[in-house]
Amino acid sequence: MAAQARTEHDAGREKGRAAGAATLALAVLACALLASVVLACGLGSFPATPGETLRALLQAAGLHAGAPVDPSLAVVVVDIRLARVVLAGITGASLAIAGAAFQGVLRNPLADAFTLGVSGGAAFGASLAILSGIAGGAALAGDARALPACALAGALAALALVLGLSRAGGGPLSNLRRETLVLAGIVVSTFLSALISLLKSLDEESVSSIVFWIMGSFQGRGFEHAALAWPYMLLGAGIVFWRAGELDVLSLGETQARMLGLDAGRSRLWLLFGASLLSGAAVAVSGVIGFVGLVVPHLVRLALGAGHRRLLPASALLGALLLIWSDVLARSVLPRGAELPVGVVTALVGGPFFCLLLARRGSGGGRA
Amino acid sequence: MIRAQGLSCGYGGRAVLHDVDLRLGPGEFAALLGPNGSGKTTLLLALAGLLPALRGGVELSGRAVSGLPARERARLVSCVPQGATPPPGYSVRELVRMGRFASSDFWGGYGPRDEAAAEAALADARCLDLAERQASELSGGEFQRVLLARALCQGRGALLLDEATSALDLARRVEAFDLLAAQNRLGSTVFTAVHDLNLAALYCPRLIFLKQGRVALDGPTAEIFTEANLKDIYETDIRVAPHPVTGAPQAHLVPGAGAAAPLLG
Amino acid sequence: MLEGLGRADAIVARTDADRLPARIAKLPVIGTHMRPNEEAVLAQRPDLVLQMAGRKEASLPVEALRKRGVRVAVFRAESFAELFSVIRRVGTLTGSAPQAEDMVRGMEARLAALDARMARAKARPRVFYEVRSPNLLAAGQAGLVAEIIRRAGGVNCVEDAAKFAHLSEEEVIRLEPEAYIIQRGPMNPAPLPLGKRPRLRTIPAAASGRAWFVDEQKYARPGPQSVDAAEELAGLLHPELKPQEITPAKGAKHKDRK
Repeated sequence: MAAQARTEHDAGREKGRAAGAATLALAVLACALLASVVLACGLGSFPATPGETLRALLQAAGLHAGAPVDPSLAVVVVDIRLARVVLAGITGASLAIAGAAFQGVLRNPLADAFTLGVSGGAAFGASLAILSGIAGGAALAGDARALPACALAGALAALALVLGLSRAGGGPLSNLRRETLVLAGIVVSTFLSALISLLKSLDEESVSSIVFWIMGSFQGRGFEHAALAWPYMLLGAGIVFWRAGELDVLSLGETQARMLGLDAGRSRLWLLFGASLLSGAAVAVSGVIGFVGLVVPHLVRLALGAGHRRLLPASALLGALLLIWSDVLARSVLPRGAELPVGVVTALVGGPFFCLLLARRGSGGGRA
Repeated sequence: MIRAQGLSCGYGGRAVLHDVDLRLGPGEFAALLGPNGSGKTTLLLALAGLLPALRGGVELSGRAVSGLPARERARLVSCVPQGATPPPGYSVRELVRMGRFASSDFWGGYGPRDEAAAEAALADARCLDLAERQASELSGGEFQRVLLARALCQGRGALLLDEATSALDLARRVEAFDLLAAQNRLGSTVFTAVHDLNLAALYCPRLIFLKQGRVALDGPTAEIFTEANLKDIYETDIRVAPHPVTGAPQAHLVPGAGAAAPLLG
Repeated sequence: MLEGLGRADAIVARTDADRLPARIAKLPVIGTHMRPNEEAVLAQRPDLVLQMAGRKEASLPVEALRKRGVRVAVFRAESFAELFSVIRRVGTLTGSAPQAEDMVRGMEARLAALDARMARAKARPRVFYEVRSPNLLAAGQAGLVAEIIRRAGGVNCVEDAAKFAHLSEEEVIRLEPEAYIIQRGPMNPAPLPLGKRPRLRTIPAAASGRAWFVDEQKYARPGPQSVDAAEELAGLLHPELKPQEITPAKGAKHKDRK
């Protein structure tokens, strides 16, 4: 009796320790994120000392009492840099959450928005918008509202197409095999990338706009883009977070998930919808940015395990951090304010990193 | 408690089970036996409401299982599946707590009651020492125990087990059946598919034999566990003798009675 | 350019983007300026193909055409001096050398007059020339646009030595341009006016309202109209320096590519 009481006590303490580690990790990530926001606002080609940066930020928040900051500096720090940091942050978080959700639903650690053609759909929708002139050639500054709407519509249409293809053999929408889903996703993805190439060769004048946009970038984006995207991102994140427990149960496989009382088919549809909203909205304002959705959840899983109640928030924070700093790199590597597409930076950083992870896993890292 | 009437079901429209009538009352402890491919797993899935019936139907506590919401169904009957693989990245405690999914609140959160149920299930299935281990690092036998713990965590009203002890060594197997018997004494309905005839005869007061998708025999162990019945179902020579300790009937194989024997002659 | 030489009738085909002068719009299209279609060019049985230098994509078909025995003249016109020599060469090649010489003389005279006028300018404003937005591209120190800015009495505030410079909005703010020129055309189909770009609201050009749209065809495609561009920009940058005589509008608006 006493022995059992002691083991239960020990178990409780160990459990507390595991939860404590996760809480600590989240707290550290959150602090790092806050610090990164301020730091990233201080970096760029326009000269600004840390003090000036801080004063400009405080002034924007209405907390700065002293002499007003130089207006140009304020514009650079707040309207340009802070806006980009915010946009990069919410985009990174969205991509990471979506990646985790796609991986959970498809039970495949290599899945992401590309796997089901959602990114391709968004990119196609946006390319079409640029070409057809709905969004004007100046897609991002022209009619800013049209492009995200088209990208989001493209993402959801691609998802619908994938789901439709998957059930072409009959059977209810709620009872799809994930192998079929992935196959249909690859087919749709490939088809869409061919369509984008077709669009590009149809109109050479718009090629640079499309290419630049598909590469993914935060150049020239402002608060208006963040304002456009966040409602969809919030909705998508809400759906996925709300169903975090279902993602855990889904990881057991369809049969066991149903044994435990999950309506697996419906749950998967909701999760795919939420994840598509997230990736569609991200693509809509920043173009196609790879690797965040793949690397971030993977990394968090290694550190904190696969439980989605920890995985999702930690991935969101880490995704935000990763993309904020990738964007800082993208806008500061080249001289005189020239920029790299941030998608190139994440691919350059993420590619080798992912190879490293795979190699470690291959050499006996277990199945994590 | 659990009732199948004229149940036929299968996969892709092809029936594996034919016209099964079965009634498991509250507090029963029954074993499901039969040769490979006789439909044991299919029957368990159908009883758990996971496989739609082609004809007939299943009732849980008097309600048609096909009309029950998934969560409600999962609160009525807990399952231990066959051949499950552990998901990567979860600790044993997390995995066992997933048993409470059907009882989690609107936000999908687990409260103190769920934690308590998980701890009790871990203790009862003797998994407390595994609780912090990664599920993917367990041996096959350890994982079987964890699945049993998850089923206990899910609910103890009715337990359906599919070969839940086949990966366990002898001592663990006895331990697991002792646990099932104890649960049964506490009021659980237990229905388990078993490969080991003697284990079933040793513990279960009632046996149900399937053959080619039909119920071949169904009755009290003492009455139906006979040499004639077993020979008929397994198509090999089997002798029955009482267990030296409990007196329960036990089956013994006879060498040279296999289908290849005449050739060796 | 050929029309200015009185030889527009000699043009047998155009690229997809060429629509001026109006009469060539009806001519067959041989592809785009980046990827001319070899078969379509050959189908026109041309005596001469004029091709602007600088497009790597287009150099392959040029080689192919030369192998087929078609005369291809490739031109580079990144300054007024180069433009004049191009006009003279085209004149020679199309058998209208005297007209070409006249055209060049006229352009040189107008530029000289412009230079004289701008010499009296008290200040030379810092000019930013936007080639493309929002994926911002500006005119650098090389190229005809840079010379147009200089001749028009301005200073290109973008110090990049290349023809085009990629830069960020932040960099534009740092450069503090006093005049902001936005070209409108195929490269920059739907630019926003400076007033609708809140992030650039603090640059001097936005404060003084010295921001204008200009025609990409006129400024960025070398040709007789390049002098018009310089005169127009001078008028925008230095409205106080009125030309003493009205220069007759000579030379039609078109570029030198066929």
